[in-house]
Amino acid sequence: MGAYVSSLLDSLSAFAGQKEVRIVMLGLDAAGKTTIVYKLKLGEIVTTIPTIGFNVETVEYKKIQFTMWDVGGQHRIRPLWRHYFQNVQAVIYVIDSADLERVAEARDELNAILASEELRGVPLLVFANKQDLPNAIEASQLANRLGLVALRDRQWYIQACSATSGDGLYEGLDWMSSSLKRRG
Amino acid sequence: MGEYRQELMKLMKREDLENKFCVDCGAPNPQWATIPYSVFICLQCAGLHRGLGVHISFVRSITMDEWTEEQMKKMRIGGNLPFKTFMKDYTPVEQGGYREGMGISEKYHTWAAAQYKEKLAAEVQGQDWSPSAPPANFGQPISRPSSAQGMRKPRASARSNLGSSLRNDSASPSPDLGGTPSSTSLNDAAYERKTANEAYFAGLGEANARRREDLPPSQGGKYQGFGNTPPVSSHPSYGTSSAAMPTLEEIQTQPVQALSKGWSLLSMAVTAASKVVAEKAMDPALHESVKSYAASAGKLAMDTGKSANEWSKRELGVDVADRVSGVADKAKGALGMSSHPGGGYSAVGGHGGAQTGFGTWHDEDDSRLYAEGDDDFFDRHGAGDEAHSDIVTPTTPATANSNATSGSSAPLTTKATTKKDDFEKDEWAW
Repeated sequence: MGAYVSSLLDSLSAFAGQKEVRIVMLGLDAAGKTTIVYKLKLGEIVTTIPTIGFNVETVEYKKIQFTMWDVGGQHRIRPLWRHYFQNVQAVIYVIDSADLERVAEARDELNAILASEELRGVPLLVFANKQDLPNAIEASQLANRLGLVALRDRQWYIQACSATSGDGLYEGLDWMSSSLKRRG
Repeated sequence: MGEYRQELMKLMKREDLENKFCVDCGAPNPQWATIPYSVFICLQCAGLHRGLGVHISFVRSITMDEWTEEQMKKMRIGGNLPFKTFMKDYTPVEQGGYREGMGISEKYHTWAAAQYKEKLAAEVQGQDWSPSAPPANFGQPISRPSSAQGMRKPRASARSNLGSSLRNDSASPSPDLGGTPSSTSLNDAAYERKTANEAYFAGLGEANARRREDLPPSQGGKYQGFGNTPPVSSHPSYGTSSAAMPTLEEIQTQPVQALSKGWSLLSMAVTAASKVVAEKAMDPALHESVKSYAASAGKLAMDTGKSANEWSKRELGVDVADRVSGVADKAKGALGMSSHPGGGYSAVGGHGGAQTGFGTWHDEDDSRLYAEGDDDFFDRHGAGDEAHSDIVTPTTPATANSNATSGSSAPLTTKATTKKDDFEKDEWAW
């Protein structure tokens, strides 16, 4: 009954013009995942602490209700990420654009995520965060270094942003909502 | 992996280096470190350090991060006391020195801190180091676009602002339980915040659209994005696309055909109605017409629960008639208005109940999370310390409404609530 009602409701909410989307936010520790979630939710910057576990918040944008699962990014809790993959309709991957030394690590983790069967074909939004820092590298450069341009069979988008100012965040959600509409 | 853990644990307990207390706030048993200064800090201060950017502070967790030999080398030659001493003794104070009472951001932006960082880096490389005077422009704020100045506020108070939308899950009676949190149970405060948020971000978007594309954002340029959009291949799991569903217009103009397109139009209309209701503001003038609509719809819900009717009366006091009740009437005629099992309001409550699982632990001292899988650390570290002897259970997300949530969030919710088990079962390769 649960599954039946669930699929029915998914159809119904699409029908009513209101859509719910489950999103998992991933990325290395200190990339800014939690800050982004609460900026989107509150329009404010909260002082975060390292996430040990996860946060969940819903954010509504253009009649889409995004349920965002923000999962801690410390190295040893990354194996837990996969537990959040089930039934997600989109992945947001957050990068600290000013942390040049860890771009390769970020790329490796991203590749591992995208190799997951549960995330096959799921759209990917990369937030190139902390663009307000002077030594941040550009989104286009990041796309190359992350290997995004080589991705096949997946919609992806990289958006420069600054979680602290809020710039770029909704542009990212914009892409995501249109991407999800394309997928139906 | 984890080869440095034992060593870090020993370092952490070095009283002669004052490593047993957070270098910034003095909290006991700090579990984090910032590498450039080779000091131990607590979870709260770690959060602040992470906000400084990696060019100022690079934070690692003793227990949850993987360390490199380079990082360890620095930790071996540093410690809280040497850093504190250096900062305190740095002169002249008026030229980039440290003063008591500085906040974390200010403290680590001082020339003194920069000098200490440089000194450690040189020592690790086996190079000589000699102090230097701050450059002429030191201490002037880096010219960051004004947009980057965000007002920070403690999470605790931000959380309490959320209270209304966070807390509506567990106490309400069953029919509206698990409904979409920001629509079905949209209260005024939440609605205002949503509106304010949308206006705020729309303003940001407009400002961003006006920025120059040839400059990086840090110099006032545009926050840009790009990507690919391959032709959509129809994924098997997305069979129920919105394209296959009858549209509202179709239902209004050609109810019978539209009906044949989708299998349970009536319940669709009912749910659509409630969705619309949830979205729109109250309009008392339409209350009566809506109520009569609700009554007829309520009959359908009899099978699934009498409370549904009450709920619909209670909740449906809104502008819905013009959009949906007409549809429902047509549909009713077309269908011969037979009762439909499973339709009706009670089915509305299935969605996304998991809005508020807040997975951070009650206590900031994360070390105890590892009590199960990490015995030796725990025993040695926590022995004799009562606060360390209980395993903190995570605040289970969405458990309060999971029993009423038959909707799409159920599988993941279940997973999330068993997270503690995951911690225990997962193999931690040290």
